[in-house]
This record gives sequence, structure tokens and C-alpha cells, in this order.
Amino acid sequence: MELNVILGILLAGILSNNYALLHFLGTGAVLENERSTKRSLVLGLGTTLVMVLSTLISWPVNNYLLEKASYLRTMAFVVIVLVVVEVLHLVGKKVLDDYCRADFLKFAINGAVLGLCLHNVEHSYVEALITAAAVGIGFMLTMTLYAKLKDIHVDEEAIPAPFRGLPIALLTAGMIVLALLALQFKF
Amino acid sequence: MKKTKVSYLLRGTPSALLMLGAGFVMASSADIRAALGMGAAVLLALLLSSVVISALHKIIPAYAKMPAYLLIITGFVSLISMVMEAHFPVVVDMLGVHLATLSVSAVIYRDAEEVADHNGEGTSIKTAIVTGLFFTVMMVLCALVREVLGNATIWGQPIEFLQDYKISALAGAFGGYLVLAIVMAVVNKITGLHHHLDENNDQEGDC
Repeated sequence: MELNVILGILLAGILSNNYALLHFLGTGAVLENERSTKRSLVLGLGTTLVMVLSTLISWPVNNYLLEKASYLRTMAFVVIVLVVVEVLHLVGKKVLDDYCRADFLKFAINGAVLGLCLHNVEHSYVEALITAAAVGIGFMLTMTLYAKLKDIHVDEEAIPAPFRGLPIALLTAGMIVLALLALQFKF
Repeated sequence: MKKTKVSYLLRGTPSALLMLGAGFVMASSADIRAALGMGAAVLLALLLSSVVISALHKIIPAYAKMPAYLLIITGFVSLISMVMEAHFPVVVDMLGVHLATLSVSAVIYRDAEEVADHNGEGTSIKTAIVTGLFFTVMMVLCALVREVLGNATIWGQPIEFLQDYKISALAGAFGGYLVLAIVMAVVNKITGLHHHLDENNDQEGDC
């Protein structure tokens, strides 16, 4: 695979193919995030690892075991994601517990991870793995960016009462989406 | 403000609940058919998984609850998507992977964990119906605005006089955020339930 293709997949996963913002996969997890920037970064890194490891297992399972049983795909992928998350939680218990207690278990099993595994069956194995890493980095950056935005002091009184909370969070995300869409046209 | 029966059944404010399902609401609100299809899928998945989980929660050991609940929900979501694929293939095509990702949706999982795990079938069914209908109404409202103004169509049929005035941005990702934010603000204004959000945020600790 050529270097420009790899760079293209990486850039797309982070910017123009951002799962949380543009594909609405894992959006709830990002919008709901009330954690500090550091904790968001650790959770984002953990989720990236879950995405890569889940793809590493789900792609061969789909192509060699589920060829004639595609109706079991979602169930099999959920089991794979569950196992990966549980194993990672056991292995990195110390780090994860220091930063986010048992939250990792619930957080890492989100729509972005499952959606990625389902999307990736259409690609080759290497492409799928690079996409997983790129989407994971994009997800982590989105989460960190969102956490950073929440750290900034905002005068709540300046926001009309009905727009406080989720509506203003959605509008903020919408503005970031506009910037990402502009990049889509640029490239 | 007093906690109303609806806010009790929604387990908080509409905003707090909608935040969990914001992804699939925006993903399926570009077309009314997709919104209704997703609404039906969410309602059925909530209802069926709540009934089964509330019936089984006493015999499932505490350490196995999370995987067991996720597998029960995934089983029902797979069943629903197979039925929809057989009868409404167009809707399934529009929804794409979002239908399958309902299996790990925080809305359905938290309903299982917070309601079905602690209550009997009656309460679980009531909560599932209210939550499912709430999401269906929100998705259809957003879809109505996005499809009519963004695509100048309704139920896939073109609206001739709007063809020159359509706002294409509303049909895309940005439109999803914008329309949901406005619809949510209107709901907050009408219900006045947004005051609860600040209280809830104060209670929730950092991870």
C-alpha cells in the first residue's frame, strides 16, 4: 500500500470521516462527556485501542467464520467488543482506575466501535486496521477538544435559558462539523 | 419545579435523555421514513429487552449483568433489523449501520440497567413506551423540518414549489445538529424542564 493512501485514510479518519461528528456514531458519548481533558484523553486512547483490537479480530471472524451466517454479524461483533474491552480493562486496570474508575467498561462499548467494525468488513484487512486507528484518533481528538471546550468559562447568563445544556452543546458541535465539511471540499 | 410523571418515566429531563440518543436521532432524521423506522426499532427494542431483563434480572449474577443485558438487547435488535429488512428494505438502507448500533445504545442499556433491573415488568413496560415514543416524536419532528426544508420532499415525494428554495445544508450533518438543537430548545421552553438539567449536572460527579 502506498504512503499517500495510508496518509489519506489517516487524515480522513481524523477529519472528513470523523465518526462522532459526521457519522453520528458515538456522538452521545462525546456530548455527554463531562470529564477533564486528561481523563478524556485516557478514555479516548483506550477507545482507540479497543477499535484497533476489535477490528483485528472482527475482520477475520466475519470473512472466515460468518460467510454463511451474516445474520449473526452484529451479535458476534458485540461479543468481540465486549471481550476486548473486558481484557483491556483487566490489563490496564491500574491506569484506567486511576483516571476513570469503572467508567471505561461502559464508555468503550459505544456506537462508534461497533459501527467501525461493521463498516470495516467492506475494506481489505490492512485498510481496515489503518481506518480503525485513524477513526480512533479522530474520536479521541473530538473527545479531548470537547472536554477542552467545556473547561472554558462561559457566561451561562448570556445563553437564552432554553438553549442551555444540550442545545448549545449541539450548536457547538454543529460549528465544528461546518469546519470539517469545509475540509471535505478543500481535499 | 416539581418532578412530573413524564420526567420520572424519562428518568430526568428530555435534554438529559436525548443527549444519550443524540447520535441515532440525528442520523435518522434526514427522512421521515427513516425517522419512523428508527422510532419503531427503538420502541420495540426498549420494550422487548425491558420485559425480558425485568423477568430475568434476579437470576442473572451481578458480575454477568452487563454482558448479559448487552446480549439480550443485541438479540432483539438483530431480530428487529431482520424483520425490517424483510418488510422495509428501503428504510434499512437509509439507516445503515445505525440500526445495528442500537445494540450498544446508551438509551436502551441504561433503561435496562436503571429501570428493568430494579422493577417489575409493569414499570419497565411503561418507561420503555414513554422513552420510545419520546424518541419517535423527536425524530419525526426533526425529520419533518430537515426533509421538507432540506430536500424539498416529503415521504420521498418532491414538493414542487419548494424545489428552488431548499436549504441543502439542513439535509446534511450540520442540519442534524442545528435542527435538533432548535427542536430541543423549543421543547425546553414549552415544558420548562430545562431547569432540571443544571440540578442533574451538579449531582453527577466527574469520572
